[in-house]
Amino acid sequence: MVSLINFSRFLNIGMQTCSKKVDSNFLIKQPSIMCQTLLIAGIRNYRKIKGVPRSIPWIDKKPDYQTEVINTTKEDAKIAADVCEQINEQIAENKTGRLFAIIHLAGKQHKITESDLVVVRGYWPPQPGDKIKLEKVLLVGGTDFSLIGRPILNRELVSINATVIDKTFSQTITHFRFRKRKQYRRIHFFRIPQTMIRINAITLNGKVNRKLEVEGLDRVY
Amino acid sequence: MSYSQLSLKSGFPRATLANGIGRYIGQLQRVTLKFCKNHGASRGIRDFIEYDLINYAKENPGVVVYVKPRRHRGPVIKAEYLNGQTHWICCRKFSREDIIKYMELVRTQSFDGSTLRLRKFWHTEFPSIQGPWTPFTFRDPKLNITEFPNAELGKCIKTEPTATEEIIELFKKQQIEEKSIAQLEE
Repeated sequence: MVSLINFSRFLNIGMQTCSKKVDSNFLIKQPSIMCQTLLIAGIRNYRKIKGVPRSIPWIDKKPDYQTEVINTTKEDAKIAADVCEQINEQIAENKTGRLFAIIHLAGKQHKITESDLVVVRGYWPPQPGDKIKLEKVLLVGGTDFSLIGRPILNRELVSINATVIDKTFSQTITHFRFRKRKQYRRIHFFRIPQTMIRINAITLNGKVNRKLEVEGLDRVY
Repeated sequence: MSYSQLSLKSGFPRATLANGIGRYIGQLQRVTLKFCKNHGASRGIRDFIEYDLINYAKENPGVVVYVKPRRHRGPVIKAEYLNGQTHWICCRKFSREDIIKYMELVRTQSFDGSTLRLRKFWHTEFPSIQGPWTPFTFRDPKLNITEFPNAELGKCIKTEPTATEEIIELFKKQQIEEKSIAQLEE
C-alpha cells in the first residue's frame, strides 16, 4: 500500500516537472478540462431550479419504506371522513354525474367514460357480441371527486361493463430490413389484430371507505 | 412501422349506427361465395361449401349467404357490410381452413381493416369531465391576486452556474486536493 502511494507521488512530481517544460498554451487549456470532469462528476448540481413545481403537492409521492409514517391527527381523520361522507351522499342520491375511469386493459392503460370506443391491439380472445366486465380499475373520477386505487380499486366497488363490437386486422404493415453491400434484404408483411370495445356503463356500487364483513362472494362458484 | 403507403386512407375508430350501446348487431349483411365446379383453385371453397356452409348459415341467422358457381373463373368471397362497404377477397388455391378463417374474419369485422389506417385507438364524445388542463391548474391560488409585472415571478430562472460560482467551486476543490496531498506527504 505504501509503495502504491509513493508511486502516485512520483507520478505527481513527474507531472509537475513535465508541465513546467511545456509552453503556456497547455496550461491555459487545463481549467476547461477540469470543468468537463466536474460536469461528469455532477458537482454542477449545486444550483437547482427553484419555484417550478415538479409534482402535484397534494398527491403523495411514492412511499419509501425506509421512512416513518407520521401519525395523522384527529383533525386530518375528521377531514378525510367528511370528504368520504360527501362522496357517499353523492353516490346515494345518484348525483355523481358522468364518471370516468382509468382501466388497465391488455397491457395498456385507457381513460374511458360511458359510450367510449377503445381499440385493443394484439391477440385478445374475446369475440364480437361478448359482454365483458373490466376489473382492473386504477382510478374512478366524477366532477367533484376522484377515487385512486392502490394500485387498483376494489372490484366490488366499481363495475365497468363493455361489449366487444368489432374484431379485425390492421392495414398491412411492411417491415423491410436492408444491409448495404451485404446482399441482404428481407421484406416481411404483417397485420395486427384489432378488437374494438364499447364501454356500456361505469357505476359505483355501495359506499366508499366502508369495510365489508365478507368480500369476494361474487367469485364463489 | 412505416406509413409510407400514400394511397392508404387513414381514419379514426367509429362504430356504425352506435353499435353496442343498446345491443350488439353483427355488421355482416350478406356474403357471396363465387367458385368454379371444375378448377383446382376452387377446391378449398368447394370443401367449405360441402362441410361447413350449412353450420355457418345456421349459426349466423343475420347473414344472407349466397353461393354462385361460375364456369372457369377464380374463387372469390364477397362480403357486404351494414355500413355499405364491400370487401372482396380472392381465394385462389386457398385450403378449407383458410376459407374458414376468412369467413370468420368477414363475420366479425364491420369494415375491411386493410383499407384503413387507424390514427387513434380511442374515441370519446366527452373528452374531459373534471375540466381540461390549463396553465393555471394545480397552481397556487395566490396567483389570482398578484399584480403583474412581478419582479419575483418574472425573474429569469438560471439553470446553469455563473462563472463566479464555477471559480469558487474550482477553488474549493483545489484546496481539498492540496490538503489531501499534504496529508499524504506527512
